[in-house]
Amino acid sequence: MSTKFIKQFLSSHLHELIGFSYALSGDMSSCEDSVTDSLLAYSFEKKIDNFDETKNRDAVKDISKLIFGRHLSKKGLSIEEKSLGLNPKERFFLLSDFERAICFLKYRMSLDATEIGHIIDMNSYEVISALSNSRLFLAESELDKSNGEFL
Amino acid sequence: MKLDLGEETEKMNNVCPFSRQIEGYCESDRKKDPPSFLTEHYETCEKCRPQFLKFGKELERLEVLIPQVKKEDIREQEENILKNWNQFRRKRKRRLFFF
Repeated sequence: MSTKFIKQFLSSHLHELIGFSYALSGDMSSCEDSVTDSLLAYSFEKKIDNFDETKNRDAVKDISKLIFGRHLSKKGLSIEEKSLGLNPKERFFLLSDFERAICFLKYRMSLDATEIGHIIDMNSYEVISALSNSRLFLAESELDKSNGEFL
Repeated sequence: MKLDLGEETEKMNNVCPFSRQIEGYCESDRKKDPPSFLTEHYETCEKCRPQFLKFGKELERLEVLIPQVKKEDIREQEENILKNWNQFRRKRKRRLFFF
């Protein structure tokens, strides 16, 4: 991949890739490393020199797949300490890794069920079901909050 | 024997078939844009409109909960990644040269 291509690619898609990495880890400081490693790993396999939005979409999906794999493999080594935050924004991180990935890919990157399934190795029915479960969970948590305020 | 259909089933029966169709379009693969006659119907039909507003509000609430990274906030990371990228390429070229 040429430097010119990578510059253009990053200016168009880096916010999505860093956002995806953040949605998985919840730690902004680790996102840069995660994206750099995945980008380099991707460049070993593929050679793209021209800036082409349709091909770039495939590159974004493949790099997201690498980010997801890297996250899962790292997670097995570390001890997770996650407190049940009361901040509604933190409730997103109570979802499982797969659910967080699905929500982000669907609502922030506008991918469909098949594309999401390719990234996280699930079939589209499982993706739709997980999406609906996480939507229910997040909507319920918001409802609980508003009911609490009302009472 | 009489079957107890329950409140949920009753609710489902009251939903306009168009409403279910549009949800099916949005959830299934590669059908991102439902036909315009369906979306128009969903926005204006008396039965569908409350559903349309409910989903809209639900989506708004959801979108706030899902993290978002803006391009302006990651200029520094972009520069660092580019720097690392160039360093890596230079090292790789040098290694190839020595072989």
